[in-house]
Amino acid sequence: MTHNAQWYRDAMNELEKQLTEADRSWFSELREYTTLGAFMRDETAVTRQQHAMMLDLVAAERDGGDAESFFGKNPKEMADDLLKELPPASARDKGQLLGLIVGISWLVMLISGGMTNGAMSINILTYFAVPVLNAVMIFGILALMRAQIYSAVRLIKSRIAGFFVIWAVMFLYVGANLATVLLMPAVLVIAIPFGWDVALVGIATAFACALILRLRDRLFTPMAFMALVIGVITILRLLWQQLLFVSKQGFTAVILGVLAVALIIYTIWSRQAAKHVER
Amino acid sequence: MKQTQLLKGVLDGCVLAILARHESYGYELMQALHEYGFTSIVGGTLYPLLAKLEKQGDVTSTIKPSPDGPDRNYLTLTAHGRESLAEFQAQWYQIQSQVSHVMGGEK
Repeated sequence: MTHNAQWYRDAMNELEKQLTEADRSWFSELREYTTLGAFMRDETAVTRQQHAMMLDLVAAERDGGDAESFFGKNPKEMADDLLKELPPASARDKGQLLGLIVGISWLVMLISGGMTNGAMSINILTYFAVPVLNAVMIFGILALMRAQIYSAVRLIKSRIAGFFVIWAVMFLYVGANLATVLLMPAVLVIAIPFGWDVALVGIATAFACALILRLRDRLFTPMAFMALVIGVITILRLLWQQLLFVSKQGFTAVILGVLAVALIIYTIWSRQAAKHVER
Repeated sequence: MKQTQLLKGVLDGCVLAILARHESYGYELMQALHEYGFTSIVGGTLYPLLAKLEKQGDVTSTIKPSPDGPDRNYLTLTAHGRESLAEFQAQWYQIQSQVSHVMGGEK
């Protein structure tokens, strides 16, 4: 009998309800720690291992044991030793992960019109550098999150601190991307003529929205909305640069207003989706 | 010397020997080891060891219905595992005899 990674995840979500509150929290940390450290490991093997261990913990609890007496006092060491022995991810899975990072980076740059203010152009160097930067930053953030799980010194000690840390990381992420775009030398640049630029942004926006909605995941749907808003704003900006249908101040005010409203809608929508999934 | 250090080298063989008798899963193996007196063994030692044995090709795992509960990840000894067990047994008897001689002061 074989199952895929999603089957094991769903089974664990059901199974953890049988654990005591303390053991559920203990195992949840172990699960997070192994999952965050397993990006280059076979996903099915990792989730199957987690599932087998959770089943055994349920059995141990029935016999009067608990997570610490059953697994020992060093879950971090156990998880590290375990991950070393699990099979690596296939070349196909690694390629898919890489393709996802490159694809998302390129789509974000296309939707935002190359993240610059002038006429649209494609700087080939930027299209190579930004995915590399994103890969480094994503893996860096995940490694930091993982290091925090069993750390004696916790960076995030309260909800308020967590809020500030998340926003600081977001600003750092966006800032690093913008800096890469703005500071990249214009060595290999393809200028996109007016008309084609609008079509390119339109297609990229439609493609990104379709890709997100295809996931049929409530948590990601607000991202499709945000991609649509940014795409529309970029198209309006490209049109305005050619046609100057309103004053610069008027146009900037409208764009900033739309962006602020969209951000508020996105935040509320995301929170509601997260609460719904949690329930 | 701590018992865990002494155990490190022989635990693989003990697990292979238990699995040679019948297929088993993590919790059942742990109980068996405890019954044999290895009460200091915890999941932190056993699960990485089982993953290592699977990686080496000594055991294979299959999800099967369990008579006393949900489907479980059963471990079965492979032909390679039987060879590893035979090799371990030969080495173990040799070491056991050598250590006995040393402890008894014989030459």
